[in-house]
Amino acid sequence: MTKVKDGKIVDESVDIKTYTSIEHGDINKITSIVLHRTDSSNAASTLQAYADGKKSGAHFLIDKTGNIYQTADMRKICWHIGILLPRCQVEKNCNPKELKTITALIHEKGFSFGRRARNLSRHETGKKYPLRYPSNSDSIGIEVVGKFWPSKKSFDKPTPQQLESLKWLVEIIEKEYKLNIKTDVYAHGAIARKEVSEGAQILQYLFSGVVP
Amino acid sequence: MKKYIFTPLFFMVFIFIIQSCSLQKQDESMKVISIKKVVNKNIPGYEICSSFTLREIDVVKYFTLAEQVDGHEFHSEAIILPCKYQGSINVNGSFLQWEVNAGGAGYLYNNKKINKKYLCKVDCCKSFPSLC
Repeated sequence: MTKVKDGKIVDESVDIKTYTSIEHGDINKITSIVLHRTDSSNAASTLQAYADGKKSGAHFLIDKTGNIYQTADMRKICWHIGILLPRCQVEKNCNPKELKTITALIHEKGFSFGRRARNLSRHETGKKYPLRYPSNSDSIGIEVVGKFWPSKKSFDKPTPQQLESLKWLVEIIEKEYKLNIKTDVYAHGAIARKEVSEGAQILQYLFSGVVP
Repeated sequence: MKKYIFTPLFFMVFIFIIQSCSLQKQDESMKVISIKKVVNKNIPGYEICSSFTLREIDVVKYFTLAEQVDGHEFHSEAIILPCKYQGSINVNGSFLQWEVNAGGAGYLYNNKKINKKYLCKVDCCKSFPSLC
């Protein structure tokens, strides 16, 4: 019987390999799950980066074989989101005052493009979920191994084993933290300043059971 | 006295010539074949793209100064904004595609195995502060 104990999934199909380097403080409340792709061809390089002391990473990593590694305690914050997109602007439902603030931040003179995006992201994180997209402080990150190919603008097609493991893992987390799979699971590329296709294929699979 | 004045002057001219030759060599090993600006109007904030400009000479400079990074670092650090320049480039005789995003991330790739990722860091940021 699978259970969650002390922030870790207790099940023989989850290999617990947590790295303190990617854990940063405590999560108060888990509101969502964010699906990532590693931009690597195997889990080993990501695990090695964590072992080498990289500070950014996610709570779980799913190898091409479908093997699941838990790389951080779910009670801990992981830096896996990056620069947030303004949710109300993406979903076209900002009130006029908020839209004015967002527009002013993104056009602020004297800053680089990246700095302006960071400032806007900081403004977003000041909002409460779900008024904004998930942030590091309230979401669980799942990395699915797969390389990004700029020539195709897409990532490696996930393996059937990865998809099966992902579905199982998302259902465990969803149940444990009382999340709604239809509204609280996101593709990284849809919520942050990343390649748009990141996480899209695997999210679509979760919703429809079909890989595009 | 004249000797003391001319010696440093000689070295300054010498260094200038060496640097010029070095830059000339970089230009020769990398030649931009095409360049095009691409804006994704589906992403919020695309309006900032109107002030993002990159010339052929900047592309060569970017790929000379930007740091090639592994997938993990690129995945965690890269900022992908809705505007980029892209095109084709000849690098040491190899025909590749290139992209430079306004967030400072870059790609050099082809349809086969080449898939290099770049981030604009220290030296690159000094030359392209708007990308950092």
